[in-house]
Amino acid sequence: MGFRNRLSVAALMGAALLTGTGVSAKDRLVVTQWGGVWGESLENFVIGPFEKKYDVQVDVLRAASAGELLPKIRAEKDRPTIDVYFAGIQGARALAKEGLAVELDEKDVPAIKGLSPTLIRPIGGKVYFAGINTRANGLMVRKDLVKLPEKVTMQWVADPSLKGMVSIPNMAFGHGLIVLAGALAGGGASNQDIEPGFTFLKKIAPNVKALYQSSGEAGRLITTGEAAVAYVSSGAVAAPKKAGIDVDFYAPADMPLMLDADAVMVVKNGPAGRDLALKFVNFFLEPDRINPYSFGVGSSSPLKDGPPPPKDKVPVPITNEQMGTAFFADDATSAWIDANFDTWNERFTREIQPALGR
Amino acid sequence: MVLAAQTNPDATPRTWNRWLPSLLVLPALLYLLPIYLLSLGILFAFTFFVYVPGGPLLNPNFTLANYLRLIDPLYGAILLRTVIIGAIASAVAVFISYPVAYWLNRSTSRWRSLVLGCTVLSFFVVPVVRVFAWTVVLGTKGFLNHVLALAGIIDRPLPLMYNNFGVTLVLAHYLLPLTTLTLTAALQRLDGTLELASANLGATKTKTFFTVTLPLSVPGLVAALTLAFAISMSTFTTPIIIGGGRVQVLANTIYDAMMISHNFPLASAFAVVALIMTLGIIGMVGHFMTTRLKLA
Repeated sequence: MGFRNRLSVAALMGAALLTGTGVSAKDRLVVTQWGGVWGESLENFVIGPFEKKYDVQVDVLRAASAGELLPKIRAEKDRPTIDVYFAGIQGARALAKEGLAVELDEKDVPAIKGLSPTLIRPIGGKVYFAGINTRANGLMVRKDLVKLPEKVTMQWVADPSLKGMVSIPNMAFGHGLIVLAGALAGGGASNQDIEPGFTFLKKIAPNVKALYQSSGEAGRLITTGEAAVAYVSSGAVAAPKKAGIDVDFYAPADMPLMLDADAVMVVKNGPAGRDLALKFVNFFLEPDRINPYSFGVGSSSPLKDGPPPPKDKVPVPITNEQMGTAFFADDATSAWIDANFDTWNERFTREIQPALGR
Repeated sequence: MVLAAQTNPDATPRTWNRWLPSLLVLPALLYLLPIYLLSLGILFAFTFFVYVPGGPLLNPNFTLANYLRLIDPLYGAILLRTVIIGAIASAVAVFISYPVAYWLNRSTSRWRSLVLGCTVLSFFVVPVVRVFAWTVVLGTKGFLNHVLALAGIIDRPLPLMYNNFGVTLVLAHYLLPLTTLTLTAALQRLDGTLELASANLGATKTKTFFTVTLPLSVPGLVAALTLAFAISMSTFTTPIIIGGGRVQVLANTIYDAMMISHNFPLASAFAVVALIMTLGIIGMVGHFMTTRLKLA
């Protein structure tokens, strides 16, 4: 081997060693996220700029739903592998109560002051998670496949003309969102009585063609024309609209506004350490990031002085007052859902699935 | 030992030769045994834990309630559906694979390598992608319904998805490469001189196939069927996507119990019962077919 060749080999080995031994290694932060518009918005508006500004690497752990990662965080409580967890309010509250979350105080996360007070739910006087977006739930309708009634209502979903054209979420989605929505639509809903929910679901079941378990899947069913009407979170409309589908979102006129919220929290003893994780949350909650992120997922701005959302991205803007009256908001409802969810899930399999349209 | 080695120079190599095969298995055993035994042990222990709705994930107080809950006809129906779908899909896959495997072994066609290549290649396609591709074919506005409607054969779309039929069909397709390769390997090991002897004794090709080739390929068929059935018992993606959340099978039920209800004890009990049942069915099928082979 000639000198020049030897030199090249040495240079290559040196380069490989440098890369491999982490001379240029960056701090890493593990953040959870869902797919679809959620993952896309977080990547574009938050993760990319954060990596650039702080020269860190953010690894995204994706899951179909936030609930999927709850057992992981609980099981790893002594050696967590997740730093920042994007959760449903329900899950965030549960983890905070179990002592698995870091306090988000104003000293470390000054941007939290900008959030609407209705999205801050302290536990024992301390804030462990921040509500980051609130979306309306309702009906996504393909206008080219069905004849719209004068008023889009949940009762319309039971109309025989929609046989085999409806999609609803399974029980996993939004922690029983569909049965809660059914209870609201069926009337008489309270945080102690789920019966109207099951009664309503049985009524619409013959029209249901498929159950979905993520917003992306609902979007696919609508885009491909497998379903013409789907009960969804308003963010789900973005993808079919982007694909040029003649689709719109409607908040059903015969039920109270059903809201759905997400939260962000820092996992205690996460691998990247508390400071970097809190820095990420603060960066995320600053207006330059939280507003475009929220609009991207079909939510109004969660900030108390946030700008109005663009109409094409957020079909049903939510006011701060409405955020405060959300169904998920109180502790009693959360405890009720937690205590009964397993039974509801079994009832759904036993009573609703066999009644779905053939 | 030292003395023996000095007095008998062959002793050490012979001992070494005897132990070498076992030692070669050791890394795999060391890797697999702790993982399987430990995880199965933990899973088994979970089945006796008490589930507290909304409470801690694991509550190590002894109970048999999780097994008793499985007696419910709801879960019985799910188990039965899983077994039926798995059995039909496996049988269909083996039935279709056998002629292909036979052809791959006997043919000298130049297309042979291409077919074999395609079979192997399909292993590299991510299962989710393969299953999603079927939604384009089987959907209400899918390729098949479109063609049938254009040909005037149907006036409304056939329900090819979101039911047991669709799940079984796609599952059988998913299993095809596996059963084809298993059977191809099994048929390769057949002693070709037996078929020649049969022909020399005046048997027709058909008679040779049914009296010599097919009985000799029973071990391969058992292996292919067993593998396919074991895989189909744990199928998850196909029922979710093709079943549209409506075809509840074993894996989805365990997933729901564990990841949605966070009911680890029930999910574990279901998994243990399913494991015992799968092993039982595989054992029975294997025993039945081997006995038949011996009789033949």
